[in-house]
Amino acid sequence: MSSNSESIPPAETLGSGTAPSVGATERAAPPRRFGNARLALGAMFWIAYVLTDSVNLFPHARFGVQPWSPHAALAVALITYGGPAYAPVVLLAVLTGWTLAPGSHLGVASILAAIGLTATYCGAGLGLRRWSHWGGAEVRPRDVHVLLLIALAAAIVGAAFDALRLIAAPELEAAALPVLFLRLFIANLLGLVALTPVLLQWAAGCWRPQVARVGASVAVRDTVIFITVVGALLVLVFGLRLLDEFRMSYLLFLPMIVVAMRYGLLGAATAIPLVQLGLLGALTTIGTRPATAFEFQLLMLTLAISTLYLGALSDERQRSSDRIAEHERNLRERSHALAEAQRIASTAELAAALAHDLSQPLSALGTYARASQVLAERGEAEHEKLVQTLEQILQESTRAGQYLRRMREFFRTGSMREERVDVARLFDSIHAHLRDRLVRADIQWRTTIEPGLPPVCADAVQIGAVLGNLVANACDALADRLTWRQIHLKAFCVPGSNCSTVRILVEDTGPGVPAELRNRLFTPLVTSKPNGMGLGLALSRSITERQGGRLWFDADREMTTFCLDLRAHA
Amino acid sequence: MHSSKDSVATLAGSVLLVEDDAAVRSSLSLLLCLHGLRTEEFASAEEFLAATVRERPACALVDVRLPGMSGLALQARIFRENRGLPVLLMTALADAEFARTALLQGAIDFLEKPIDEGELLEAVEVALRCDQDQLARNRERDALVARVGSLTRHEKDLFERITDGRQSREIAEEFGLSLAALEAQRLRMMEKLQVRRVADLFRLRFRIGECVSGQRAVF
Repeated sequence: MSSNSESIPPAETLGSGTAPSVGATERAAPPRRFGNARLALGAMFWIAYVLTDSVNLFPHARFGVQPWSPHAALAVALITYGGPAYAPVVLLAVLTGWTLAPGSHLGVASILAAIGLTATYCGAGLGLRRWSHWGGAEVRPRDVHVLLLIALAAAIVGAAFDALRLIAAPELEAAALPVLFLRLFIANLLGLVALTPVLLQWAAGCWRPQVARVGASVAVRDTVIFITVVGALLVLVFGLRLLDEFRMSYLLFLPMIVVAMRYGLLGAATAIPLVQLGLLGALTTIGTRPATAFEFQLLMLTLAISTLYLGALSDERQRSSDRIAEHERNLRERSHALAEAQRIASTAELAAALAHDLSQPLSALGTYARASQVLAERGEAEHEKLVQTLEQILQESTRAGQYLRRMREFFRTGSMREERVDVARLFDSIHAHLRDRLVRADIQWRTTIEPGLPPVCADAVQIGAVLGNLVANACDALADRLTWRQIHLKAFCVPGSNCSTVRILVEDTGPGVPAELRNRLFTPLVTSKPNGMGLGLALSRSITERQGGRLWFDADREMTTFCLDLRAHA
Repeated sequence: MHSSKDSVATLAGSVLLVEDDAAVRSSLSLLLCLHGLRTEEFASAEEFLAATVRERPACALVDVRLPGMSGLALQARIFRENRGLPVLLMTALADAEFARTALLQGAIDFLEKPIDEGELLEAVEVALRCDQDQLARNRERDALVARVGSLTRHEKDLFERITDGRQSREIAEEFGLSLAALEAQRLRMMEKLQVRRVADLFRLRFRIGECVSGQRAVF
């Protein structure tokens, strides 16, 4: 702490370096084709460059080389942001900075070096424009690689030109040249890595979405917390000197990690120069030997690179999760629309099927009624026939009524009955129902029921409809068959279920289910029949499942086989 | 409903019912019988196709939804095989696409269930009349074909050349005949064909050509 007053930079150095240069800026303004905004940017750059170049934090540093050179980053960022048009301003700034440097004399070598240095900055800036996304909003980890490589190259070449300028200095011994070069290189690299990202990120307006995301007050609060924490850590590490000065410097990584995770690359890029300033402050406060300064530089460099990568990765993760969320939202919307369309389609198909099935008895009714009229007009002679026809009218109206009742039961959820259904009787009723069709198509009917099979627990009407539908499908499949036509119904206890589940198989000798249809067999509106509605199997499955059973197609068997599992009646 | 009843009384013929619903089938059969029409019932398209001998005039009344082969497929088949049998379709759900297909395939009409008696009788009448006309046309054509068939090979050549519009002198030259001999042969041929004037020969040729288009076996 005692060394404090000694290492603070003399105030007059700062003042004398800046005051005359402000006036010079106006005169040495960039070419006229620049717009006002560009002019202002150029002027601001010029002032900032000359200031940072001539600030001499470490008067004791050899050859006036500072631990970091922010001016290089300023120049590269300007070119990256504004393009090669700013090259003259950069050259002007370099020359001004060197002129103002203590003990410098501008010779031919210096001017050539200045041109070379400007070219280096321009090359680096154009490289960043060309091969990375640093000027834009989406900076990826790959862009950090590019930045590091370009910064490395620019730092080496820039240090060479810087050294070229200093060779002319009389006090320089040839043996010190490599050390000088190394120091310049490290300082340049540090400046570029630490400062270029923050300048470009803020110039690209990356702060707007970040602030919008967390809210301005939260952002301000976090900044204050961050500065406080870093300040406290710096005091802890360097101020109290509990240990040797670098032992605890790893603690600085902690706030950096938090900032990078929370605010991404923008946060990381902003935190790096803040911490660097803090470290520089600590460095000036405690005063250093050159070797310590070198260790400081390495610490800063490591800290900067790690934080940059962490920030870029955090941004990348945020973008991926945003994209996934967006994708999921789209998917949800689409599947919702699909389900809705499917529902409407099945409702329409269902209505059509209902209309068709009801129109049959209604049509017969109307025709019989009209025939009765004709018969009645003919009087006594046709009396017997009239009675017969009226009997048929009665039958048809009963059929229509039954159909409606069945439909109501079919669709009334929750009102299904659980009754003992004898499998043999179930088979018989289906046979009776479809006997005409079986005889007409000359289909052999076979049933096999395991002896001692318990009755099943189901709604007789509904399970009858399901099984009837399966058998009717089998009849349709056999209709075009020239060879052996047989439908075989089998019922047995599912092995290993202790006879708590009864399995019914419906087998037919038809051509089977086309392979491309198998997976979608139970999807509504999928059918292989030219006149089919494609609802039968879908409805059958939902009915079966509502009764605690299962219905599926067994593709592995030789015969076309549908399997129906039902609960056995206890 | 009653307007068409009287005209139907004069109608004779059979209606071939193809409908899988037994009640619909037998009710239609009963009503048509009461109007003096003969009916035959088939429960499927296959059953219909298996039956062969049919009385004419006749028409088919086919339900669109049938087990196995559909009504539209049956209609297409009847039309393709050129049985000349008029087809009426019935359906519970008529839409534009269905009507288009049915008419393109040559259906006389289609009826929507529940079926209106008046519409049914009207459609059946049109169909039977159509069949009757066709039968008459067929008979006439058969007679004409038979007459042309009675000609000798030489006379058929002559008939063809005259109706191609060739000059008598040209034909005589080709056959190596004198004009008088050619004239004598022409008169005998016209006698066989039972026509008086040369113009009738052209008409005959036209009608045969129309009826047996693509079947040049006559010559």
